[in-house]
Amino acid sequence: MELWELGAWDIAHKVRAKEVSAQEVLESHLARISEIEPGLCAFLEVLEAEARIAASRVDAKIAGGEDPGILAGVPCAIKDNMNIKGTACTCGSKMLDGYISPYTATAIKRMSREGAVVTGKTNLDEFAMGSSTESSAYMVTRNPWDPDRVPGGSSGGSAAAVAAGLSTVALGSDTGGSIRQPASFTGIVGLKPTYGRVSRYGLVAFASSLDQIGPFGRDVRDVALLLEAISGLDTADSTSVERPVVPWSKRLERPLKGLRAGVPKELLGLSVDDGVRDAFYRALSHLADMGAVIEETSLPALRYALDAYYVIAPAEASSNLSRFDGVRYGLSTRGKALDDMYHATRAQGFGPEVRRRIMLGTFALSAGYYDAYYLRAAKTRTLIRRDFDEAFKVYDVLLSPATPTVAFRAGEESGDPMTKYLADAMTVSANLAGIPALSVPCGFARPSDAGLTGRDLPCGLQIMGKPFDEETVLAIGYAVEASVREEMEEKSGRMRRNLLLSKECERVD
Amino acid sequence: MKIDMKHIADLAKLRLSPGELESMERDLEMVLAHIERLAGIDLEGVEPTFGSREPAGVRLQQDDPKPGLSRACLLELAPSARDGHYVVPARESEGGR
Repeated sequence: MELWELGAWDIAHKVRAKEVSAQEVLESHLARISEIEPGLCAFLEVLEAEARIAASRVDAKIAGGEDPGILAGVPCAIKDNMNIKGTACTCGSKMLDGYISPYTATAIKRMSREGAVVTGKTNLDEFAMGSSTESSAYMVTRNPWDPDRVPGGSSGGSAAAVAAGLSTVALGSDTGGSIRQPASFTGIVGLKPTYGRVSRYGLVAFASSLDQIGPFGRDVRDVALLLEAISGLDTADSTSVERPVVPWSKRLERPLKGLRAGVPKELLGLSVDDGVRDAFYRALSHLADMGAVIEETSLPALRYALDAYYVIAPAEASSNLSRFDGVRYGLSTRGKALDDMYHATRAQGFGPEVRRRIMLGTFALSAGYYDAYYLRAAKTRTLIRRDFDEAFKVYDVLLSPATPTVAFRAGEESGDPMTKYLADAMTVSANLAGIPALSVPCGFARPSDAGLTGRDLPCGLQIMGKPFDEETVLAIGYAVEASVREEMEEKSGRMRRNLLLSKECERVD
Repeated sequence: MKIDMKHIADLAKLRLSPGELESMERDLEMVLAHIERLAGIDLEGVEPTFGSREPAGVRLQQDDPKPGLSRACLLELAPSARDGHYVVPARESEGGR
């Protein structure tokens, strides 16, 4: 077995036990990146030199008898909307052309302190707005399971890098599903932690009341381990909260007997592909076999979650993105007068999807429409939260498919932006309620557009939990994972070993 | 409902061509057609939710001065700076540069 095939848990243990050095682990990954990356397009930048320094520091600590941390020598890729001092941070946009971060995000600092080795910055939909990475101004990341399909988004680069074995774990950000949906599309595990669990300091804001940084890994234990490293209060982010950081990675095995899980019928009522639905029900029956009590339930306000989200997120984005004005950083298109400069810079720097959402958000906040759109959406959000609060009086967790379909083909355009937004239908409500939610692979399904010869693709199950109860969410994820472990390991191992992306992707400088 | 797209683009400080405004209007109308469902919900007496779910709400920091990023470091990122300040074109009303 190659070192790049190992998980974070195994790497950290081997590095700490001096069975292998952090530098050897890194070199194995860098070789894998140079072989696969030209055809995958997961990385906007590989930080080779910086990674070598970080890995040698971990080895030096171990040689000096110091504790190297719980992620000793674990390669980690970072979505390129998080700042790392001295490196570019593009957010997948031309708007941040030439910008070099003057500081490092708290989550990255914490993970590096625990011995993680940052290997590079990964591709994303521009400013994290999208479900496919196709709105990146630089390139479209491919899905390693089928290069004609998208890896999901917006954290598609991070997900593809982990799925393809270019990185052991990765960080993403999730505003409406941007960790869980790509995790589902690429057959890996992704967690959106409770709002406030992980500091957002150093994450470029999209929608501040919804954004949360979270981990990707190839199994639940790795995701739990990375969560341990990045969680905790940070005074630099006023919305981060003081809650104990639990050794989640050691609390995954727990009896499910008597555990109560609800399945909101409003989510299953959405158009879910048959294959995805079948895989979901198979996982439910496995959980029931293990003693969990599973019932259909109703959270009526979830029917409006996507509508409320597509008012609130663009509204917050239109405000957050007003900082990109050509004055302080990034792109600047000079004009005769100040207003000309603002207008020209923003028209040139933002791509179509970002402009669309800025316009939608500006409209929803504008005089005459605020009450009808933004205020109504914010009140609907209260109903959604109330429904979750009521449901969690009865159930320990709520379950749904993570996505209505498996990965869709790149380049699919319907003409109606809302069709694409439907990819977020399962996931947005957890952001609106601020609760933790995990996507864990639950099997494979045939894409509805694949025909008879098409191959099956992975799909995820979503576990939503009570605020700050990541422990239960991860434990159930671990049980779901166990039910498909053999099939997943066999198929994903084969996918990674046989991965040969002959066509190089097109990249824009 | 007819949206004044030019007005919205001005508020958003986005220069869009007439063609872009037209296609943007089509997109917005399609999204708004879905979102119209919000109008049918009974929200009588419901308070809005704007942010943090912690009962204590957003925590305020102590008002202690702490070193942040230096002026020099920030100005280095600027597309144009001089004598410790950002350089921008004059406002139109002030008659050019």
